[in-house]
Amino acid sequence: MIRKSFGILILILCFGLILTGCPKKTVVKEEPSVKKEEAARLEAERAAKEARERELAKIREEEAKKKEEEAKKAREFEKGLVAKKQPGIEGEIFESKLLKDIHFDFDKYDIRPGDTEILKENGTLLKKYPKVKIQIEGHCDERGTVEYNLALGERRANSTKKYLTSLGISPDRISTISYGKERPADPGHNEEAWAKNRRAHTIILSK
Amino acid sequence: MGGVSLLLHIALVAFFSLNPWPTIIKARPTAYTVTLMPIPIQEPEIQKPSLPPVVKEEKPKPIEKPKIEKPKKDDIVEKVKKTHKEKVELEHLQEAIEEIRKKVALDKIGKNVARREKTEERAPVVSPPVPMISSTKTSPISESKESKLEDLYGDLVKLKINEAWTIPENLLKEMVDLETIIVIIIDKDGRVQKSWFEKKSGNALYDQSAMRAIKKAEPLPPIPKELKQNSFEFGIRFTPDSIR
Amino acid sequence: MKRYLLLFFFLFFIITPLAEARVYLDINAPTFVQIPIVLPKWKPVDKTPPALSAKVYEILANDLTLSGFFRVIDYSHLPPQLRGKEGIPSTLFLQEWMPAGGEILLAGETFLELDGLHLRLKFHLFDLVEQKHLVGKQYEGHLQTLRIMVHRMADEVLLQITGEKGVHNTKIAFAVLQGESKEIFVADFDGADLKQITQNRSLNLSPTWTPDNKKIAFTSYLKRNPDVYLIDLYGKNLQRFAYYSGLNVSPSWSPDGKQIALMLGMEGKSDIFLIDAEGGNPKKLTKGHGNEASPTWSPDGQRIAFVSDRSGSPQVYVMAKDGSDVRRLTYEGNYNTNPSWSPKGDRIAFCGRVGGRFEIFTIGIDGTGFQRLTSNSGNNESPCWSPDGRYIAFSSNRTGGSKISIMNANGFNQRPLTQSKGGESSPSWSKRFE
Repeated sequence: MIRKSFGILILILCFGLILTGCPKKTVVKEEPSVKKEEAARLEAERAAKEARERELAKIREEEAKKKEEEAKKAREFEKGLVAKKQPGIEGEIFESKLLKDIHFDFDKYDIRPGDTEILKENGTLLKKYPKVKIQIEGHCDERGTVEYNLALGERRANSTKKYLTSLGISPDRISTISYGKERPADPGHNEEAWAKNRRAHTIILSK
Repeated sequence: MGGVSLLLHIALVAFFSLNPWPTIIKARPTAYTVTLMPIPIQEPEIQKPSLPPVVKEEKPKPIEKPKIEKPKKDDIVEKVKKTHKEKVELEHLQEAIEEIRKKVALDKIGKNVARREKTEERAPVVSPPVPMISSTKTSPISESKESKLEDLYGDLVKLKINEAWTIPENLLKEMVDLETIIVIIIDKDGRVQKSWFEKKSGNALYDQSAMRAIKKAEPLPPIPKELKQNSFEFGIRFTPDSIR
Repeated sequence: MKRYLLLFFFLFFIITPLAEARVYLDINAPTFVQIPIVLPKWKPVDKTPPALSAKVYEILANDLTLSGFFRVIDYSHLPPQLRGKEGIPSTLFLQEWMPAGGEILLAGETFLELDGLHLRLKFHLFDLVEQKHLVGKQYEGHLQTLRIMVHRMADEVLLQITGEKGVHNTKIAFAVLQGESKEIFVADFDGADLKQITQNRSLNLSPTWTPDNKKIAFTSYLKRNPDVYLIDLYGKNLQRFAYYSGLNVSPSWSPDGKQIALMLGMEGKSDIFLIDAEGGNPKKLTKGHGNEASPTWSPDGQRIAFVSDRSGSPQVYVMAKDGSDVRRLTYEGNYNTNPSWSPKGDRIAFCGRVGGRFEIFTIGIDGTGFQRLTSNSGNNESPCWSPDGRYIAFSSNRTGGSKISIMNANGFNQRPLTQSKGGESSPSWSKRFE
C-alpha cells in the first residue's frame, strides 16, 4: 500500500518535472520575470536566425546546383558547337547537335505534326541562349529540276522560321536560305536518302 | 480562173458573132490531180513480155543509195523503143504500167520503212494493183487513149522525181504544210528544157531539195510518141505526207 | 481602143486555157537522208604548213557534220583518182567529181603569211547536181582567230544551202559540279575551247548570257545568300547584280535588254519579278500562293513563260509581260519545268517527268503540236534553244554522268557537247559572235 501511493507520488512529481520541461509557449508562467523573458526572446531570435540561415543556405545550394547544371549544359552546348567554314560561302558558322533537323514530305513544305516537338525543343534552347542567331536552310531531294527546287527549299526554310517565331523567338534572330537540291545530306539515290535530304537544317551564325 | 475564162468565152462568142475572126482554139482537158496509184487498163489483149527484175534493192536503205545511178527502167524503155512498130510501142507502155504497179507496191513498203513508221506485215512480192481508184478526172473525154497515155506518162515522171527527192532529217517534223511547186517543160528526149518555181514553200532548203530532185531525176522518161508532142509541161507539187 | 480590147481578150483566151491545162503531179514521199557533201583535201599554199591546212579541214568537216544537214565525204573516202586532188576545182571540170557521190562540193585553200601570224582562208562551194558554182569567199585574220574563220565558213555554207546562217560561232555556258561546289564553264558550239569562268569554290548555278554576249549572269552563294552576279568571259570583273533578301535566281533579259525577269524570294516565297537593267525597281508579276520559277521571254518581248505550281504541281504557264493574261500551257504529266522560248517564237521547249524520268518536249505556243524529243535515255533536263531556233542544248545523264548535249530541234542527231565524264548541268546558249 505505501508502494502504490509512493509510485503515484513519484509519477506526479515526474509529471510536474515534465511540465516544467515543456516548451515555453505551452507553459504559463505564474510569475513573469523580465530576465527570463529577455532570455527567451533572444533565444527565439537566435533560433529563427538559424532557421533562416539554414533555409538560405539550402536555397543557395540549390541555386548553385542549378547554375552548375546549366553551366554544364552550356559547356555541352558550347562544346558541342562545331565551327565550320564552308568554302566559297562567306562567314564562319557553328552547328550543334542540339538543334535538330526536321523533315518534309515529297513536294511539301508544311511542318509535319511529329516534327513540332523537335521545333519546340529547338525553340526552348534558343530561348535559353537569347544571344544566338541562327540560319534555317531549306533543302530538297535530288529529284526535280534545279530552279523549282530552290523555290521549294525557300518555302521549307520560311515555314520553319514561321513556326519558331510563333513560339516567341524574335524573327530578327532567324534568317533563312534555300539550297534547293544542291547540298544533299545523303548522296544516295533511293527513297531513304531522299527522305533524309528533304529537310530544314539549322546553323548558328553568331552566339 | 475557170469563172473568168467562162466569162471571157461568152464575151468573145458574143464579139465574134458580130466580127468573124479565125480562131485558134485548142480543146484541152481540165487539170486534175494525179496521185500515186495505178490505173486499170482495158486494152485489147497484148502479150505481156516477161520483165527483167526492176526491184529496187536499195529502197529500204535510202542512206546507202548512191545518187548517180540510173534506174533500170530507162534501159527498158530505150531497149523497147528500138524495136519498130506502133504495137510494140503500146507494148512498152504496158511494161511501164506493170512497172508502175510493182513500183507502187514496193514504193509503199520502201517508203514506209524509210519513214520510220510501223507498218503491218505486207507480202514483199509484187501483188496485184491496190484496188483504189485515184484520179479525179473531170474531163468528158476521159476514156480516150491519149489521156490515158498522158496519165501514165505523168506517173512515170512522178515516180522518177520522187525517187530522186532527198531531204535532210533535220526537216522531219518541221515540214508539215510546206508546199513547193516547180513547173517543168520536158522535151521529147526527156530533158528538162525549162524549170521555174510556181510556188515557194518559204523554206529555202525545202525548195532547193525540190529543184535538186528534178535535176537528179534527169533525164526524165521521154515523151511517148503517141502523144505527138515535142514538149510536155508539168507542174510538180512537192508536199510531204504528214510525218510526225 | 477597140483594137487593144481585142488583143487583151485574145491573149487571155489563149493563156487561160493553157494554164488550166497544166497537169500537176504530186510528189510526197521524200527520202530522209543528209545532203552528201564532198570535201576534197584543202590545199596549203606556198610555205603554209600542211598540218595547219589539215586543222582547218578538220574543224570545217566537223562543223558541217555537227550541223546535222550534211553527210561529209572526206577526201580519204574518195575514189582513188580524186583522193589526191587538193584545192579548188574549175567549174569546167565539175563532171569529174560525180563519182564521189556528193551533191555539193566544198573546196578551199589555206595560206599562212610569211610573218607566220596571219592566215588567209579561201573556199568555193559548188552544186554538183546543177554543175554550177554557188559561192566563193575569202577570210583573213590572225592565226588566233582560225577557229572563228572556219566557223564563219561553215555558217556561210549553211546559208547557201538552207537559206539560214549556221550557229557555228556560238558558245554554251553551263555549270560543272566539282566536289561540293559548282563552277561556271564555257565551250564553243563544237565543244572546243573549254574555259572555266568562276573559280570561287562556291555554289555557282544557272548561268545565262547577257544580251550583248559579253557577260554571264549566274546565281552564287558567295555572300551566304543566292544572289545574281555578272562576270566577263575572262572570269574577271565580278559584279553583284541582284541581291534582294531570299532567292535571286534565273534572270532572263527581255529582247530589248531593258528589263530582266527573275525569281525573287524576298516576299517569303519565290515569285517572278521584273527589275530594270541596273537591277533595281523590283515589280512583282505573279500573284497567288504558288511557287513561281524559271521565267523566259518570248522573242517579241510581249510575253513571259514560267513555271508555277498554283494548280498543285509544277506546270508551264504563259503571261503577258505585265503579269496579266496568265494561261496554262502544259496539261500532260504532273511535273513540267524549265521552259525555254524558241527564238523563232512559235514553240516552247521544256522538260517533263514521264515514268519517273525527265524528257525534253516542245509545244506550240497555242498549246498544240506537242512533241517528245527524248525517250528512255536517262534524265534529260534544262532545254535551251540555239539563237536560230534549229537546235536545242540540254543536260542528259544517259551515259552515267550528267552531260550537256545538243540535238536538232526535231530531236534528231543527239550528241554530247564535250568529252568530259559528267557533272554538267544548266546549259545556256549565247547569241552568234559576229
